Amino acid sequence: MLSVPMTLSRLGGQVHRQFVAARLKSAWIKATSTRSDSAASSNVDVEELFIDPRVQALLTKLTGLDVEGKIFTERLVDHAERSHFALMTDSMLENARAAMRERATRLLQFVPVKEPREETFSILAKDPQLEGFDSCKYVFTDITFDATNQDRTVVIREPDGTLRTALPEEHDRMNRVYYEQPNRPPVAPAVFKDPALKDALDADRHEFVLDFACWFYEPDDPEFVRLSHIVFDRTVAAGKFDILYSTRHFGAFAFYLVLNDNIPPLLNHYGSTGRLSDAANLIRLQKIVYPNWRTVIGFSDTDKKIVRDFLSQNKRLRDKLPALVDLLDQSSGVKPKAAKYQPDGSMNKATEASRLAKARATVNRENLRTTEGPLGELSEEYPVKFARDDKQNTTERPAGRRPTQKTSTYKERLAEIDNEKNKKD
Amino acid sequence: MRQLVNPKTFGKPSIGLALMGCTNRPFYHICVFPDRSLGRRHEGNIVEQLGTFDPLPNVRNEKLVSMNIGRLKYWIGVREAHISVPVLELLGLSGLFPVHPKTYIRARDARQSLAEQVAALKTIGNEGEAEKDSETTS
Repeated sequence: MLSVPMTLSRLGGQVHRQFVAARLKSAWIKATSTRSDSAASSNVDVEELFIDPRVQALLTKLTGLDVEGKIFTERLVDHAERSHFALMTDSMLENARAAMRERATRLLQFVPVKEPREETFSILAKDPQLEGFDSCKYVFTDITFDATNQDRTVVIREPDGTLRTALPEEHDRMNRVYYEQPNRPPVAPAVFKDPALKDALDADRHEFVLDFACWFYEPDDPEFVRLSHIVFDRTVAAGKFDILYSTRHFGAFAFYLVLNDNIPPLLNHYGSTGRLSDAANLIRLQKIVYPNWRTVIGFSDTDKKIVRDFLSQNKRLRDKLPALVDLLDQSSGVKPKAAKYQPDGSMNKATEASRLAKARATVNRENLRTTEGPLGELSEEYPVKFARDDKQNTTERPAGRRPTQKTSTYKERLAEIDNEKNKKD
Repeated sequence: MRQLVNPKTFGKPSIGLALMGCTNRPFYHICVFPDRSLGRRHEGNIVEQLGTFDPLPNVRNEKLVSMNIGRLKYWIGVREAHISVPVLELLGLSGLFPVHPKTYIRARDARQSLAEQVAALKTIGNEGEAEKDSETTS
C-alpha cells in the first residue's frame, strides 16, 4: 500500500493532499477488508456498480417489503392524526393493500452510494502583501437566486492573504447557514458522534440515526460516508440486521458488506432465520460485484444449489456459518434412522440438535464401565450400575419401526416404589 | 437657498453597508440605496438587499459574508451604481474586484504595529536579562 505524502501549507493546519493512494480508489472499500490488497478492488467503480440494473434488482429483493410491520408501523409525529375506518369489500381491501404496497416501494428508494468529495481545496490567488489585514478568515458565499446547494460558490480569504475554495465541510456549513431547513443547524448534532451515537445504537435507533444523517448531509459528504460506515460496522458487530431490514438503508448496507467481503455474518443471520433465497441473492450479488471471485456461481441455479456450492467451495467459512449449514441440512430433508417421533410430524430445531448430538455420542454399553467412558477415573472408584438395559431395546425392536417407551401411570409408579422399598428391606 | 445637487452622483444608486443588529452586536446588510442626495442611508430607504456581513467572528474565527453576485452584476453593470469603500473592500477580498488599496494599507499598518510590539517586548526581555546579569555579577 502506497503511503500518502502530505505537505502542510501555512494555512492554519489545513492539509493539501498532493498524491492519492494508487490502490485504494474507493472510499467504500476499507483498508481492513480482505479485498483492499487485490487488484480487483482498484478496478471497482462503486457508483457505476450500484446503479447497475442487476445489482439494483438484487438489492431490492434483499431489502424486502414489510408493509404493515415496518414501513407503515406506528410512528411518533408532531401532529395528532385520526384513525380511519372503512367498510370495504374484498376487492376494495385488495386495492387498498396494493396502493399501500406501491407507496411502500416508493418509500424504500435507496440512499445513493456515492464516492465522497475530495477533502482538498484549490488556491485561487496568493497575496502576501495582504497578510495581517485581519486576524480572522473571511468566508464569502454566493447567494445568487438560481444556484443549487452543489453549485454554490464559497471562497475563503485567509489572514495571510490567500484566496482558496472551501472544503466540503465548510461549503455545506454555509449552505446550512444561509438556507435554513428545520432540523438542519449549521453545526452537526451530537448524535452523529460518540458517546451520543453509541447510546443511540445501543437503544436500537439505527434507522433514526441514518434517516437524520440523510436529511442533514449530502450523500457525497465525506462525513456522511464515514458515519454510515460506522453505523453499518456496529450493526454487523451487534448482529442487529433486522433493524435495517426493509428500510431504505438496507441497499447501501448490503452493498457495503459485499464490497468489503464481509457477507458471512449476514449469511449466518439468513440461515438462522430460515431465509435461503436471501442468502442466495447475497451470494449472487457478490458474484456480480467481484466476477473473478474464487467461487463458481451459476446465476440461473436454484437458491439451494447456490448456497450449497458456496459452502462447498468456501470450507474455511463453514465454522462461521453454522446456522446456514443447519438450514441447508434441514431443507434438503436429511432424516436419521432412529428419529424421535413428534405427534405433529414436524422436527423442530431442538429435537434436531439433540438427535444429531445423540448420533455423535461416544458413550455406549461397552465403555460405560471403563476409564474411556464418561466417568473416566471415577469408574475405578465407584461401581457403575445400569439403570436401564439398552440391550433389550436394540435386539427386540425390528428395523423401521418407531421406538416405544413404557410410561407408567401414577398407580403403577407407586407400585414400583413399593417394590423397591420391599427389596431394600 | 435651493439645495445644490452633486452632478456626479445624481441619479446613481449607491451600494453600501447598512448597520443593523442591536446594542453591542453590529450586523451589516449590503444594500442598494437610492441617490445619495435624497437623504442619509437609513432602513426605510433601502431599494434592495444584496447580502450580509457579520463583523463579529464566529466560533471558527470566521467572518461570514454573503453576496448575491447575480444582482450585484446588474446594479453595478447595468445601473452603474456607486459602491461605498467598505463594500469595495469586501468585493476585493472576495476576489470579484481587485483588492482595494485601503486593505493593503491596513495590512501594512497592522504588520508594522505588530513588528513594533514584538520589538518592544524583545527590548523589555533584553533589559530584564541585563538586570539579572548585573545582579548576579554584582
